[in-house]
Amino acid sequence: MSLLTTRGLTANYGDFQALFGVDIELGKGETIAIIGANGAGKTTLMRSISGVLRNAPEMVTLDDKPIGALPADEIVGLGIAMVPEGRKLFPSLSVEENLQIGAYGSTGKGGYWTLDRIYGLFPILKEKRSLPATSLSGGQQQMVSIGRALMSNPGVLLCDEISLGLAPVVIRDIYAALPQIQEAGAAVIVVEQDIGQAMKVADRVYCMMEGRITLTGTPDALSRDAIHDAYFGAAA
Amino acid sequence: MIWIDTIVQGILLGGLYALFAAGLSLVFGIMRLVNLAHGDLIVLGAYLILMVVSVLGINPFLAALIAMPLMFGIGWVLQRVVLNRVLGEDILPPLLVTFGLSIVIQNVLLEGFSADSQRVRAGALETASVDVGPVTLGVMPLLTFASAILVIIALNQLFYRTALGRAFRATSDDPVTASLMGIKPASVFAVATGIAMIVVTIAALYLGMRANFDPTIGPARLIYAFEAVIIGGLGSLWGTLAGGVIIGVAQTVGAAVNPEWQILAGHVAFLVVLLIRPRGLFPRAYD
Repeated sequence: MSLLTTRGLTANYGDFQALFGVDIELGKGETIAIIGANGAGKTTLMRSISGVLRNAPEMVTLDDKPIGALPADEIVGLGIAMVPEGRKLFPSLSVEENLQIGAYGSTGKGGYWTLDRIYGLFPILKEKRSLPATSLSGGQQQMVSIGRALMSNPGVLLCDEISLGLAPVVIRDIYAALPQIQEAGAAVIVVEQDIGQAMKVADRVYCMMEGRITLTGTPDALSRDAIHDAYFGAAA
Repeated sequence: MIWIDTIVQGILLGGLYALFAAGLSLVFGIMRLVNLAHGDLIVLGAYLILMVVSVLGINPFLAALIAMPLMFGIGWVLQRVVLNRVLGEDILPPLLVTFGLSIVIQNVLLEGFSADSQRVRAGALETASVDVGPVTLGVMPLLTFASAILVIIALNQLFYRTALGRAFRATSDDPVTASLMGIKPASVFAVATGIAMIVVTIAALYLGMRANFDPTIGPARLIYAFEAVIIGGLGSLWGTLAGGVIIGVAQTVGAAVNPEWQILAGHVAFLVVLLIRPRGLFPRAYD
């Protein structure tokens, strides 16, 4: 049984339609990657799942329950946490406060992830815990953003472009945290423009173009040519 | 010696202005909402305390304690039912709505309490004083100033030591990302306005005990509050106290030179600070 699905998901920004019937499926404990060029609709898809964009109820389901119409503050309580594109740390809050606020909607629920475990996962954050979050380097800020999402002990973790703008060595450090996150019980959706990185970590890959899923499969079953066509369009 | 006395009285008066301003600063800091009815809400609070005092025949301080939860409720409902609907990218709708609210409150008070000026009686406390070295200090101004400091300490503790305070700051930074954390910005704003109304009640208590008031004096209190917030730098509560003190000292010094200059001197001090430090004395590092 799938944990999270979208069925015929459409989304609009005013008159502009960004998604045209997207179907994806995420199983328990699974990691899927969503790849595609800029403007393919990946971030819109993440915003729809996390409740920042509201949809018809049945378009997104969690454990077969319709959640598409719920607002973001309720979605996180159901166990779907997002690492937003561009990190979006709170500049008024210190590193530690940014992490603590991740648990705001789920206080008392208990779970694997605590402040100490986040510091275990990203030791550098413990050292910098009282600094303003936005004074950190890009990679460290990304760690805070991931830790903040984990603090709600999500069953589903949405990672939107976590490698964007970071050096390859930093990206490697951040992705090194993924196994422990999966181990702790989260199913993960990674959105990436970096195809190589996505193929390395994902059980299955969805490729998006112009608001539609153009290709899906396991990483070893997809040829580079097929991905190229799905990414840029067959005529390219 | 007369100058020391004048300046000390001005500093203490600044405590009253800081009390006027703290609620305004809180609301503006969290939701970027300029509440033009703030002064009228203070006057409303003063009438509420006056009513509790005359109906129950109790001490004004106790009456203020009773008024606080009521004022919290008024603030909460006001935010939920009215102000949350007008918050957005455009800053004009909240200005228009709170401007209208200011007129409504003034006229409701006029209907209910007439234009006669009123006062909350505080008995012997009104004239009590203590001698400190060369100056004689009124107990009432001292209490006002001490209350202002306590309010600012309490608000700072709330902001920087509690989960609610973190939610306030996070929502102020970025409401959309805050909602991803499980925060409901609409509820956070309602609680913030409720807390601001508690501060307003404390300001109303001293406003009502120190001088006569009538339904029309709200807008002038709003101006003092505004000036204190701007002088201090938006978002800094200690800055707001400093702003209040600067206006208070300017007013008492102005009045000592020529009684007609009291109000004017406060406004001139405000303009001078703006000329020298356009972002206020303690501006936030970012905005």
